Amino acid sequence: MKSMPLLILFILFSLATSSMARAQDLFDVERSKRATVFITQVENRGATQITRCVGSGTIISENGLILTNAHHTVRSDACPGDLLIISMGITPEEPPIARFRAVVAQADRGLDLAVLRIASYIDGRLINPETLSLPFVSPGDSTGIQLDDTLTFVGYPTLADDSVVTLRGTASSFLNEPIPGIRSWIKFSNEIPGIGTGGAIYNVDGELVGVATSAYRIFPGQDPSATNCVRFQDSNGDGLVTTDDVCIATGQPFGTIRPINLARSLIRASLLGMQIVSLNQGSGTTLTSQSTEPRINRIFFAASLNDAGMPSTVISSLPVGSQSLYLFFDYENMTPETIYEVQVTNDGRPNRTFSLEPVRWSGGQKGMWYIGSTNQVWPNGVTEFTILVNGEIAASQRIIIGSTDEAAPIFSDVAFGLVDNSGNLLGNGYILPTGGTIASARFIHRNMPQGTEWTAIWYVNGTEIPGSRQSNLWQGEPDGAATTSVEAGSALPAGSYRLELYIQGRLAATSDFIIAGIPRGAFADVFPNPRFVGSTTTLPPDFTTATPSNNYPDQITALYALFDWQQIAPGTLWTLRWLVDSDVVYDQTSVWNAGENGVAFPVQLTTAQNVPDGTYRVELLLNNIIFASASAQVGIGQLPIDLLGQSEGVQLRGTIIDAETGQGVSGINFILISQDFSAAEYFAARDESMIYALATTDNNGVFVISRPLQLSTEENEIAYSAVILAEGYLPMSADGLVVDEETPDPIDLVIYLTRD
Amino acid sequence: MIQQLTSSRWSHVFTTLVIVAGLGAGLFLRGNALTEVRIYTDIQFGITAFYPAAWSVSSSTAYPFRARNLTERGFPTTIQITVQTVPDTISPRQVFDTLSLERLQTLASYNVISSPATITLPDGSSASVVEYAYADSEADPFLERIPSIIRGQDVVTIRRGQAITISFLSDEQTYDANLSTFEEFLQRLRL
Repeated sequence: MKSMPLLILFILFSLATSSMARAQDLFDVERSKRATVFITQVENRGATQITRCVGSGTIISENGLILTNAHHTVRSDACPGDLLIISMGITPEEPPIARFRAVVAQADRGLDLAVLRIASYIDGRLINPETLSLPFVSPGDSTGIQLDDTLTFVGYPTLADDSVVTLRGTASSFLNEPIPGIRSWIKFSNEIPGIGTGGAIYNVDGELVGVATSAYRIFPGQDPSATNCVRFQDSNGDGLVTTDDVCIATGQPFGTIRPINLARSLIRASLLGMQIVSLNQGSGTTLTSQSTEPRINRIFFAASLNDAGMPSTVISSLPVGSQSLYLFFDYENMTPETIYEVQVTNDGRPNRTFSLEPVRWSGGQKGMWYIGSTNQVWPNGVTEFTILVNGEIAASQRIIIGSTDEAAPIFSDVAFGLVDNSGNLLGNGYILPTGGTIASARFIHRNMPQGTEWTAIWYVNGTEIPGSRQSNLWQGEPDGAATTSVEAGSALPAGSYRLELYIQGRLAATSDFIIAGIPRGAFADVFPNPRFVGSTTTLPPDFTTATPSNNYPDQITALYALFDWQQIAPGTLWTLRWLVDSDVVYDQTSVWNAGENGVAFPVQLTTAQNVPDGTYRVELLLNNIIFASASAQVGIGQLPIDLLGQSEGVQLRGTIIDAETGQGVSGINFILISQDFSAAEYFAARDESMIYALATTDNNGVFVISRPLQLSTEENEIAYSAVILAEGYLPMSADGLVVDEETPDPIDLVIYLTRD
Repeated sequence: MIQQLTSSRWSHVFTTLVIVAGLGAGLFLRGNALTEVRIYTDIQFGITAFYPAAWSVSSSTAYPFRARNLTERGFPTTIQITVQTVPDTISPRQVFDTLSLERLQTLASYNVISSPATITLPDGSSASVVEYAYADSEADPFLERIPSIIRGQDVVTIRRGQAITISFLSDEQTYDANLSTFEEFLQRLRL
């Protein structure tokens, strides 16, 4: 370079200035489209690959994490494929082309959310995720969404025939269920095509706030010709494509959205590469039922919920302008693969706003469930809820809105306590300790004339407690609080309990509670001795008996949370939650099946490499109340700063053109020099450590710089340099390339090269 | 008149000589630029290498030395040295097998195209050589590029409990033309 001075001409930057400045153009539609992928679940049958399920997804990290649904990606009866193909359009205007294979990094089958990780190219070559630099969108916050806010769906509309589409609509309602709780679903006013399930929902600021979710499925026995599905492969190898071949469900239009906040723990765990599994195999106890078919019964309405998710009172009508309504029902034999649907009609007309299109069941196997909404006006008229399970009507119930009998007698707000031998009231209202012989319920009554017949019935684990039924004539004041109780000869056993209160044969109020644990003061101690054990091997034989600690070095490869348990009946719903540096990375509610008493229930946390530094915390909950917790520090007790960070900045791309022919030139290296060096310094040293990013032009002369350019600020100016060296062309270079908040994203350069 | 003619003739001769000298100097400088080398020294691994001055050099935890010709269009011709701690009993063949297994996972259509052959390095020690090829395709899903065939050569020598692999990679179209650069690199390499 010293003997042949470089002839530096110029770089012609023709910035494709957008009509709006970047700060104003909050929703980057093109970026969101480029981050959208089409997902195909494929079943390998020797040399043949049969497409089983399809859907959309969204890239949420540059190294290839994809947020989507679980129902079309996680292997199941409906989707038995074993290979996930990721397709994307070369440009947002083109149909998708298969590019990568992915694996499931984290999934919650009930919530129907999954995070995939791109693992290899389409031909099976493994990918080092650190070398990937894919367009991605960062998850936003779904709590800020208000009714009637504008939302945009971005996803694929058809079976790989069309490019990504965007659909605008509004948040028409929020539906609540026990799991995951408030805002279980956001309803979208527009109709999302069935294949769009798994696609992204953005708010007006361009933040990813939801996942379009509908688990449409074709059930055995359904007439395939009447269902929304497509056949295009000879899956049975008979040489013909007929009704005997696999029909890929394409779904039906829907408007159900899972808020992004429900996916946060999955995303965090995926970014950290964590796997959390319960190692307890259970006692073999399973809930017994006379039938294995899903069943829905005891369906009724309530106007509101209490803090424990129990109905305040049972109603059959509501006044004009009511803003809260919940449908309650009992269920059994449900699984995460069960598809359920709630169709709501008003005076016979379908009401999309409050209906729930076919979705995965997110509850347990057996229990009480609700669905409804608060702070939204329900229309007057006869409102009918019809519950469909696996495509068949399971139950329905009607309520009249706009007319109510103000003078009707009412029972409401049932709360429980346990009276011990000393007459003390134990428990917090819905979780009571064992040891008491009398369970007492306090409830509110209104409009109760003297002499009105009323009945209380107590149940344990679904069976009426013998001798508990009390039928009486009302003797007290019309309005006030009253108490009823059940007494056993010995201590009431651990289990799930229920009280039903009837007025003149009509169910007036009901509530469930749990008896578990042994008394510790007035409360139940269910999960004593929570602790952590770290290990340098994945599954040491003595981890259940090892000495626990709250501090571990950063070389451990596994962390075990252990806890004992006492007096918790099989079938009780419990929640296990893991947090790292106060962020939830695992939150799973499931049915307890490990016997009533035991020690050292093990839960294992592993990562691809060593467990990262951080403060780890495990919480054990019943009815959303924390009953035990423990913490431990690994390494310095804090996650590395950038481990959960996402790169931000402006993308640089462009086209290099032969000035003579006007054609794009392939194979040209565009070298972007980091801010610490100039082009001349690179020429002198030819040291690749000076290179910020390197891109090579494709057949059309197009190049894309993989790393986003960092934004300059007034305090910190970041000036890049660029160099193009190509045999047969005059070299070019430029210094002082600065991007800031006003720079369009992406930057599109057009560079003309002159032949030498 | 005669004097003027003589003077004019000498000026023509002088001009011609200046042009010839200029061309010669230009060719000399160009030749220098093409053949100019830089020295790379790695004390930790005991490597001293001379590589073309126009190439870009780098090192990382995966390799102590890599030089690439980034001025080349398409795949940049690359010379890379990797060092791997191995047991004394290992043979070069086993090193090749390990490399092949890794490359089969990450490189498309990877294929070994020659049996291991033995060569003598400038310091008199022996080394084994294997040639291979694979398809290099575009990693960015949003770019359109026809995959190119990359031909490579690994020279493996085992010394001081380390397997030192010197790799040469070039587009199949320019492999033969660039091979002399690698041969010169090997001649000057001190391990």
